[in-house]
Amino acid sequence: MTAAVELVELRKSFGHHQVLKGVDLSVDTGEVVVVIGPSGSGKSTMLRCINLLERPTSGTVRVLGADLTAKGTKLSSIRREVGMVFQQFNLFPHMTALGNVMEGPRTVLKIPTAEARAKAIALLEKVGVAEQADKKPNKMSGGQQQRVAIARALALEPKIMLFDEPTSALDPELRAEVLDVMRQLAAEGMTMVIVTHEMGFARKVADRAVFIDGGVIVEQGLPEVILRDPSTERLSRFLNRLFWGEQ
Amino acid sequence: MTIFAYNWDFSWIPENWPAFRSAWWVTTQLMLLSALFSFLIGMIVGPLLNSPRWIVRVLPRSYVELFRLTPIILQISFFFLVLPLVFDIRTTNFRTGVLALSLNYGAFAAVIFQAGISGVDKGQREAAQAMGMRRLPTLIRVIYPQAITRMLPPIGSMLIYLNKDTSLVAIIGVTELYNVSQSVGARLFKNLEVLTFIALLYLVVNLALAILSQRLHKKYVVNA
Repeated sequence: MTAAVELVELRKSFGHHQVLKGVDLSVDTGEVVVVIGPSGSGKSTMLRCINLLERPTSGTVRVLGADLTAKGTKLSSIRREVGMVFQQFNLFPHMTALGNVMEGPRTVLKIPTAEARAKAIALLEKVGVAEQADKKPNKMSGGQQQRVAIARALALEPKIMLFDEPTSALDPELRAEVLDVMRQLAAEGMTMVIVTHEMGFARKVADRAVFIDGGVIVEQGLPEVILRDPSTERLSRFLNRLFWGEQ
Repeated sequence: MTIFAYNWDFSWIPENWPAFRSAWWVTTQLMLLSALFSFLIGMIVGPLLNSPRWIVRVLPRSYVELFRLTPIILQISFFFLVLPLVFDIRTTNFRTGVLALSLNYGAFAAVIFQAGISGVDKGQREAAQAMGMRRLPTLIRVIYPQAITRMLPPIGSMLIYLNKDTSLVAIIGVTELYNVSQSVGARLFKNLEVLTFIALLYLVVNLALAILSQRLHKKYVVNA
């Protein structure tokens, strides 16, 4: 069976600054992988390379068997199979919640409007914001916006979901409602790659935790194991700092 | 009515109103058509100016600078001559005027669009890309609706300048307001009154444009 996502020797530089220094990662279908690491470690850049929002400097990105880094690959057709949720939600501010969720099915999948609407309403119900359907994003709370953003990504029926620090811009009391939706997705068998600082979520939901520091994968394994008992000095230092603040 | 030494006489207005009304309409048509075309030019050229690849930028950038940095009155006379002499295109002076005004204001519109597009958060484009939206639908469905609300004040002033600059095509014989004011004024020896009168006609339209763009800006940006 081919992996859902496969990164081989992935490198990415911005100018002279090398952010990713050779990352190899393979994510199986149905697997939930949590990516942790200090800020500036390259974890977001790695995630953004999976749907080629960032073009790798070298290395290979394979998604659902298709080589995205090969010349002539139709990016847009692969991207619709890969949903993405951003830290800042990035909802379209001129559209209602419903409009946001209908946009993909209508413009990308070319589904008739009535059908797209029914689908969007069902998805808004699924993420628990059906009553917000006719509101613009700026009239919703952060937690509601992020759930709409998840519904928008799901509307394209992706096979893989990428989350880039989905709760980092949210007040602590709003995080749970977003994490609950993500937990539900994981339970349904969605393949997920999640960049996050939510260690509780990582332990309970993820199949694997991947620790990135300095542009390389330093340690990975069962979240329950490596987050409790890290085998590398760097991960234990990172976890300490995360729980107790700078020491 | 006497103001200082001059005896102002506006009694000729009713009799000459039909001539002014049709000239006013010509002016308005020049403005609306040129606004439409320059807007279309701006929509197409604007995003090209933002391209990271110089090969894509070089032609649109040359066009913009050529038309921004030479006098518009020169451009109008130039097209008046170059179309029949070089390209053997014989068309009406009105159309030549619309062409010159559209190309000139298209350059300005392109710069306004360029700035408006750069002002949209880059997360918006990324979100659309991540959904598999192609470049054109992303521009039309996601970027432009957000850019255009920000562009309302500069577009408003652009339309106002355009409405005033339609008077320049008088030099190629288009019978718009300024042109007609010159002929009527000369015939009646009432040049000063005629100019005062058409100034009011320009003011009416431009005041409406100014108020409208203010209102829209308030509605979509300030109170959004």
